[in-house]
This record gives sequence, C-alpha cells and structure tokens, in this order.
Amino acid sequence: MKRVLCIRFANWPIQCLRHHLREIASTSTSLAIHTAPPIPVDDRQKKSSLDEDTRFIRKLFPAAQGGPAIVAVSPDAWAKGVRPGMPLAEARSMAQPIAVNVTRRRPSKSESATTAPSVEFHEWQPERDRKVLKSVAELTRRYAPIVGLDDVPLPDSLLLDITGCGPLFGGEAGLAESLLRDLRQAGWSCRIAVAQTVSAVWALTHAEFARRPDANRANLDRRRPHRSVSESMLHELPIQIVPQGQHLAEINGLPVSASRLDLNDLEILSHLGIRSIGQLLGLPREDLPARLSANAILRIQQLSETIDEPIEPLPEANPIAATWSSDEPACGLIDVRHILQFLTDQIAEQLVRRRMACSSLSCVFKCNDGSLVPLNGSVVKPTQSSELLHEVLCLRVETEGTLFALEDTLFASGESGGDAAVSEEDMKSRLAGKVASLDSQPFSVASMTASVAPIPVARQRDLFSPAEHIVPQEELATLITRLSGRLGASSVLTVRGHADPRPEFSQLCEPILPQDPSSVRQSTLDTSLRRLIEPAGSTAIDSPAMVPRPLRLLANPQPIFSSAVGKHFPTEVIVAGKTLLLAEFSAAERIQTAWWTDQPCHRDYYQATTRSGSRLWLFRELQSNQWFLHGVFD
Amino acid sequence: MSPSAIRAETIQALRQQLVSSTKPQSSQRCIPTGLNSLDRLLPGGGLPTSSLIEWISDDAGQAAASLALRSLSPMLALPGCLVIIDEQHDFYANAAVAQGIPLSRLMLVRPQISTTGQSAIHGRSRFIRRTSISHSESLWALEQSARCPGVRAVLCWLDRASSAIMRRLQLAVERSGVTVMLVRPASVLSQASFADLRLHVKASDASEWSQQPQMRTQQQRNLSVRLLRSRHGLQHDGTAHLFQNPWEEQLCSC
Repeated sequence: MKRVLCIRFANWPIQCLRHHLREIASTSTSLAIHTAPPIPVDDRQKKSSLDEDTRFIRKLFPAAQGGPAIVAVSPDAWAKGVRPGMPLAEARSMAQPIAVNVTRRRPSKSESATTAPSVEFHEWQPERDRKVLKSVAELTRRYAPIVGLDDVPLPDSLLLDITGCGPLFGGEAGLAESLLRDLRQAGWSCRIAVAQTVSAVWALTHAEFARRPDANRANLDRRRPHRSVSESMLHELPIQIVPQGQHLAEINGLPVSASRLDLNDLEILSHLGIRSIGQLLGLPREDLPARLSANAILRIQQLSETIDEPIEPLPEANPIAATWSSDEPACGLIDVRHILQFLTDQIAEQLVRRRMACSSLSCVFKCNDGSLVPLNGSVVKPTQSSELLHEVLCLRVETEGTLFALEDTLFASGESGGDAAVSEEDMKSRLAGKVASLDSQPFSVASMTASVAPIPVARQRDLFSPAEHIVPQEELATLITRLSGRLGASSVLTVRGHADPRPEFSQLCEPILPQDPSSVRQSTLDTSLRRLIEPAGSTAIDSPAMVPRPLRLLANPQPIFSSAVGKHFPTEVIVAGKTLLLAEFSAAERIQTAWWTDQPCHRDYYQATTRSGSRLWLFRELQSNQWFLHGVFD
Repeated sequence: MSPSAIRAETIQALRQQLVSSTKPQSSQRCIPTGLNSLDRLLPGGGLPTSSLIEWISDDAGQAAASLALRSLSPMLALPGCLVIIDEQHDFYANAAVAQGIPLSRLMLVRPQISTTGQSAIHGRSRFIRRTSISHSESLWALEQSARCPGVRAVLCWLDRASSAIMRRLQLAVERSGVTVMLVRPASVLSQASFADLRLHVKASDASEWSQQPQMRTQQQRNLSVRLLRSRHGLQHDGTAHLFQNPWEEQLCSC
C-alpha cells in the first residue's frame, strides 16, 4: 500500500528569510515580510506578469492589491502587533515604539536592555522561497525515491513517497525521526505526518492541533489570550504517523481549510455551515458541481480516495551529464555518430541507476579552433533508451543546416542544466559571431547534459484482444520525437480553430513538442497525445460553422494579373503552372474587419469554377479592386 | 532432387504466392466510406485499412483531397491520429471539418521550406514546387508516418515518387496497418501503380461556357469517381457519381 510523508515548514517565508539572513551574518529576530508595491500596468498585462503566488496573496489579503502589505511575521514581530494582511504603512507604525514622556518616568537600565528590537521589514521574494524549498528537498533524497512539492500556491511542504522505505530505517517512525533530526540540524523547523494519501498528510500537517482537534479547539479560544504567539505557531507533536486505513477517521475532525480548497469555495462552505472535512465528505456528491469549482471537486475526490494523486517529482539538483574527450581530434559525421553513441550510453546508464528518464538532451562540441557547436534533442515521452536518444540526435545532425541554426538555441537551453566541461559564460563569448560545422571542424571535447523526468507509467500490452484495441500512444510519441528531431519542433503541429473572420488567421498551428520541453509539464504532453489518439466521441466536430472554405489556402494570396478591373471578373488564373480558364462565379461573400484591427480586411470572396470543373477561391480587394487567388477547393 | 522437380516446386510456390497476393490480406479490414455509390464500387464495400490508396485528379481543385478526407473520416472512429503531410504549407484544416475530420485528431507535418534550395518560387503560381529539400523531407516524413502503428491514416499530396519509394510505402503500410492516401496529378496515370486502389476523380465540366465568366447561382457540384485499379480485383467496372453541396462542402452520394 502507498505511504506518503509530508514535511510542513511552518511560517515558511520567515524561515526562509532567517536562513538568508544567517548567511549574511544578521541576527535580527523580529522580522516581517511585505509584498512589493504594485506596478501600474495594463489590466491585460497584469494577469500574465503576476505569478501564481502573488495573485494568491492579493486574493487572500485585499490590502495587498492597493499597496505593499504584510505577508508573514516572526513571533517577535507578532508580539509588537504586526499581523499578516496589514498594510505596510500601518505595520510600520505599529512596530514603532510609542514615545514616552521622559519627564514622567525614565526607564530603568534593566527595562531598556530587555526592550524588544525594532521590526525589520523585508520585501517578499516568492521565487526565492520556492528555490530554497527545492534545495531543502535535496536533504530528503536519501529517504524516498520520489520527492515533490505540494501543488498549492505558496508551497510550504515537501511530499515524499516512502512506500516500502520504512523498514530500511527501522520503521516509519524511525524514518520520520531521522528525517526530522537531519532537518533540525540544517536549521529548519518542521512538522511531519505519514499516512496513506497526499491529501491526508497535507491536512494533518496544515491543521493546528491535529491530534485531538475537538478538545484542542475547545481549549484554543480559552488559552489564546494567555499564550505567546510563538507557542501557538509550534505544533505540539512534530511527528504524526497514521496507521494504514485510519487516515479518514483522523482527518474527519480537521477544519475544512485543511482540504486545499480555493478561497471562494471555502467561503461558500462557510456560508453553508460546513466546518470540518468530515462534514464536507458527507455532502451529496451530485450537488457539489453546481456549487463548487472544478478544483474543489478534484480535491474532494482526492480526499475521499476516488481518484489517486501522484506526487510530481522534483528533478535532482545535480545534472546527469557525460563528457567525451580525446587527444586525437575527431572529425566528420561518422565520428560524431560514434561519440553521440558513447555519450548517450553513459547518460542511459546514469538514468537507469537513478531510476529517472530523459526528456531532452543538450550536447556541445568544442572544436579545436575554439568554436562551439551545440546540438539539442527532445523526446515526447521521457525515456531511458539510449537507442532512441542517439537516434534523435543523429537525425538532428543529418538535417542540413541544423548545426548552424541551432546556435541561438544554445542560450535558451543553458538554463536546463550546467555544462560539465565548458562554462556558460565561456560558451557565450566564444560563440559570438562564430559558426562552426561538425562536418569540417575537428573537435576534441564533447559534453552532454540530460534533463530528467520521472519514468512514465508503463502501459501493459493487451495480450488477448485484437490489435485494434491497443492504444498505441507510445508509438505515436516515438514518431513525433523522430519527426521533431529531424524536421524541427515547429514542423510537427496540432491545429485548432481561432475566432477571426480573416481566413488566413482563423486556424492556429502549435508545435506538439515545445522548443523548451522543461516549460511544459509531462501531463500536458500526455493529454495532447491522448487527444490525438483516442476517438473523441460519437460525432464530435470541433467547429460548428461549416461555411464553404477551400482545403488549400494560400498563406499569402496570389495576385491575379488580368485585364479585368473593378467588378469585371478575371478570365484566367495560373494554378500549379497551368493556366485555367474561369467560367462561372458564385455570389459574393463579403469578409470585412473593423478599421482598428492591425491588418484590416475588406474583401468580396467568390467561388470560381473553371471550364475543367475545378473550383477556386478568389477575392476582390474592395479598396484597390485587385483580384487575388486565395485557395483551391481541392 | 532433380532440376525439374525443383523447378516444379518453385513454380508451385510462385503460383501460391500469386493467389495469396490477390486475396485481401487478413490484417486488412474494409470500412465503408458512408458514400453509398462509392462503397458499391469498392471491393469489400469500403476502403481497406492497412492499404495504399491513390486519388488522382486532372487539375487542382477537383475535390480529390476532399473526397479522400470524407472517405477516411469513418476510420477515425478507431484509435490513431490522422497525419497530413503538408509540404506546400497550405492545408486549411477548417475545411477538413466539413468532411467530418475532428481537428483534435489531426497532426500536421510541415517540413521547413529552405530558401537556399535549388528552386524558389517561379512565375505567378504559388503551387509550384519550391525546393527539393522539403520534398525529400516530406517523403521521409510520409514513410515514417506510414510505419507508425499509432497513426490511423496519412494524407499526402505527392506529385512524383520513384518506384522504390512507392514500394517502401507499400511494405510500410502492410506492416503497420496504416492507411496512406496519396493525392496525385493525372501525369502519374502512365506510371505503374503500387497502390491497393487507384481512383480517378473528375469534376463535371460543361461545354456551353460562354467566352466571358458569368455569375450564376451556385449549383451542386457533380463529381465522378472511377476505380482504375484494385489490387484485389475490380468488382465493378463502373463509375461512382457524387455531388457536393455548394454551401456546406459536404460530399454526398447520388
């Protein structure tokens, strides 16, 4: 059975900041973090420029929408009255010590010594928080094969799949204690829970007083005025292990806020009087979609174990890389293929050892004249196969002009992983203005770096059904990999409709395999593959409108040079080098766009039939009265 | 064994191969196109899967490709995608929707058109072949797609291809189960065919055209399809008549 461990770092932004301040030898303990002042931008730009964390904070704290607001505070700052959600100006005034009239009473030496230091305000850096959390994940690698972040805004937890790992540490309790010890030694304060599902461990670590919720909640209000804030922030039990099958009973009493629902959904549930997860799970499922968002339905299904929730693994920090070097320089495509084979074999060996798969490869050849030749390749489905990886790179090498064209892509791919042999700065400086070809330039060093991804779940072949029942997704993935490898990712496309009256802009072609595979999640690629393979349904037609349109449409309309002007029809048109005599025109279809669009269009379209029966799509530009051929009804 | 016995055995083996080659392969399955008159014409009552089919038209614009798409749309009820090899970068997918092709099942392969090739755009026509590099890349992509079991069908405009290429395609589809449809010009009629089916599409022409083009109310467009060759024997030596509704582009059977 699956076992999941969650490490929750309470007040993570403050812990992160403290960690950063320790590095620069600052000892301040009274800390507050505030958001950056909003930049006045266009509304359309606003949504795209803001990251997910900032949007969440602005939704959570309305004060952050108008100006800088407090995101997190340390216990000392809390004691001074600074609270999350407070505008920065108000927080600064709260943190200022009140000026006391010295004539009335002069503070004693002991009092002045014990006066709390003033609050230090720092700007919030969510990207740094995420980066540090990922670096902390490296400390936990030895405890679990899969380590991931929780997929909520402002992540403050790590998720570990520890299925089968407990006996290696004397049981799950031993594992959790050892892990806690390691993290504390590294200076992190955290809480750990082990249970059967991701949703259960997340709820247990994110709900205060998870052990005895009802009793503790009753005590909470009574004790709160007398307790220090630091105490309320700390959990009484840093480790909680829920035996197999008892997690639902454990989380039933927890507050519904521990169920990872969106703020809007929580508000709706609050209005309905739903306070605990048990009450939430008790609601009739058929009524939920009408009231709650799709994300809430997903979370509820994950809580009730209707659907599984896999952990999205974090890639390991140290890259998988291989290097080839020789005193005797290599030259020519045959040598390149041999060296690529050597490098991909080494990469595949490391992948097998680490139980990971490769999603893209980046290779750099260092020529003897100092120039560098990059070579990149990607696969649709992550693989451990050295044969496939080698084939993808060889296809790229074989394409004429590839090695020249890929010069620019080197810098884009530089982020995916460091180069073991040649530093990036060195690479950039040497590549500037230089173009090299492996076919003519001898080289003595070649290095390869792999971007890793989890091994895709193996799909078992159907032994007993006819071949038609097998969904050959893997074969299609291999085909797309090969086509993209040789022709380029921009040559293998999917198509979708686009609402634009101009025919040439009414379809969007998008590459299946992106230029930078790391920018797209594997699940997105899998969904694209599944859509291509699987029949959508009975008669699912994507576009409802079926106006007559030609099957072959010229990207640039071809002008018809004819004596006909104005409303007189042209008599002939040249198609595929052949002159066709036009015989019949249909009634006009006017396509017109508004004057404020970028490329306004004022055209009268006609279906023209030639004397041989061919049908063409012609239009007359209304402003210039010029005729154009725009398509062929092939 | 005597030479005569060996010869007799060889002849017998060749005869068996000949007989077996004229029968539909076990892996092939005929899927009705939904166009009754065309189905009546085709051996097996539909287009065979795992086959190579040529659609030939005298000129561009005679609806050969539309007919090919219309007839393969029932095949997309089976798993697998439709690959369009679009060497000229002019395939307009929205028009394929009218022939029953869902866009979500469509994969478009557009080899890069190199501007440094031996021939660029000449004359006034956009439809002139641009470069031989993109043509060879298209042929390569066509063969790769034809070999992939994850693909249900491939559609490609193919003007010229050597016998070796056609033979490779034939072997690829037999192995993978993919249906390859080639839209070809009438100039290939004089060449030997490696296709399972060769169909000739012709739009109706009239002789009473006036010298100057006229504007007319759009009539339905009549098409005729002749089965020129079938690897498994000609069932009927006839012609299928179809028409196309001018406002919906939907092909219908007469």
